[in-house]
Amino acid sequence: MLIPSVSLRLLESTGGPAWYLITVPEGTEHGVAAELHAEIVAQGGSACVWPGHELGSAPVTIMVIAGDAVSKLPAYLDTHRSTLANWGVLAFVIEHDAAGRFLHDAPHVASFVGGRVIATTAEDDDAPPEYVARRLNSLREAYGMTDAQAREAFESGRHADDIYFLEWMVLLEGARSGG
Amino acid sequence: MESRRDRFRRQLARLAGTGSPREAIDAGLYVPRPASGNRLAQRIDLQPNATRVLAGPIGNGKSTELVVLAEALNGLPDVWAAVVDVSLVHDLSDLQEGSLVAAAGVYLQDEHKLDNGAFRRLREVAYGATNSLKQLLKLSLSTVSLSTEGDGRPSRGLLQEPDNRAGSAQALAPLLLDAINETQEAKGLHPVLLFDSLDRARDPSGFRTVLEHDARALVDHGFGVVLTAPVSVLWSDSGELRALTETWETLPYEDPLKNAEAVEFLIEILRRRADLQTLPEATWLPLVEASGGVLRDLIELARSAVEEAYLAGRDAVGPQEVDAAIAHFARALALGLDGAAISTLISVQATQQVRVFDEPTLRLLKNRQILEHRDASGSYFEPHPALGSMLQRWAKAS
Repeated sequence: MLIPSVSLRLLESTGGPAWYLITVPEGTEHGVAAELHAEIVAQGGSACVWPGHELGSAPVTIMVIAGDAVSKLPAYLDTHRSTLANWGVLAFVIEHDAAGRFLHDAPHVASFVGGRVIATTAEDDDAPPEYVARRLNSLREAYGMTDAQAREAFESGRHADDIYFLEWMVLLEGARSGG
Repeated sequence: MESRRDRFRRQLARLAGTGSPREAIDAGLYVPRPASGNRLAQRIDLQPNATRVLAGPIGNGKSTELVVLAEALNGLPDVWAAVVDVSLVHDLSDLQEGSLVAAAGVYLQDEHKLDNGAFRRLREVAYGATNSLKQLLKLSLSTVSLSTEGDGRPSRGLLQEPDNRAGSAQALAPLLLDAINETQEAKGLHPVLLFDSLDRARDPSGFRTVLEHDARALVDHGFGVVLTAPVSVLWSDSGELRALTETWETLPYEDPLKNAEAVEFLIEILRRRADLQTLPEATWLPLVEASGGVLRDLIELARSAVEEAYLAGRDAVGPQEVDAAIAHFARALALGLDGAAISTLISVQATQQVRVFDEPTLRLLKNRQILEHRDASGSYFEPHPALGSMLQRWAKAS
């Protein structure tokens, strides 16, 4: 999934506790977390990234599970599940191949993540075109507008605070630059 | 007029599975379980002064049941009950003698806003100068005894050398009783403490320690005690632990594929949460069946189906969105399963039994890839129904 789409999904979940597992290619955990953070901020939201920021200090907490943390954090997170529930939206960013072990070692966290496991690519350009097409189609159907009408509505400020319109514009931009 | 987006947002909020049990109960979303009813409340009413365990697998609503139980007990004329979420004030990997009693004192002060001199003394004893409950474990016997303003000296038996924290639970329990008795709410009533989150303790020996010492000390001083048990003891020989309790109840997953009462119960959970315009009744049964009776999974599947419908630009959830939600859920559940785990799942599907409770199989049970159900003749097992299609493919491939 596109990183802007993931960040929108996280932003859309704020207001209640919701946990996500974001799986990424090996070695890109910190980079993806930084991109997610930047996207959320660009979209008018607020997020904190651990390690670095204080946990739970923003409505969206992005936790990088890499290196030693892959083996050490599951037990900690599992036993502190009650505290985590107060942190709003929580996104664990972890390498694809380590995700299964993480969930197995933290069964209580896994239960709260449920089906919210999102595979993302490090580069936006790698997002599958079929995903972009399907998502654009969904947005057109949902709002009953063409891309041109949506662009006009967004630019005139009528839907400027609707993050789905923001996503719509990001997807159109990506589709155009992707050729 | 409410927009489509607002309608879906409202529906998603009612399906927030990570929300607090208290909020869910207050919103009228709690559905009483088919069999258990308020049996435990009746037992406590008959004999408040005892240690009882409420065990159960992950995602089965134990925390909610504890809140409901506390409410039922507080409706009795002579009982004062409170839930204590131990994990909010203490590290569950560090359960030692005295930690449960001290945690109760700190939690009741912080979360239930009970405050008096005895509670403040208890906090000093618990946190000491380091602001850590670990300080408790460094206390000498004399420090604890001073805090109780009495002898408080524990008896460890003639042949046992008391260590520096032995007896701390026995010394702290009367201090906690004083603290609670001094409050207006609990004065003259039987106090019952319901300890939640102990199911997340990884080390069963820590649980055994607090069961043996803290629960006993509390009961010795007139408390009723209910504890959740670590998930790891559900499928092990827990005879010794059970011997330390008056009653040990297990909340199994209800089986929606074999038990009509279970289906009604699970459907009712969706009925309370569903907006019929967004999550129509025709979608409920497939969601219920795919949940395997795991309450949190049911709510999560319904939430995911609603999200799918929104993203697909539809007005309401239909069969396609239900299938997509089950597929997402199954993929997450199957992450990291190796060949041996898949063989075990195929074998469980064929026999409805678990052959060996070895470490890899216990992980499948803890992680809900295998579910345990119970009927009149005992326990039986099945792979999580959401894994059904995947298992068929795996079975063919093997």
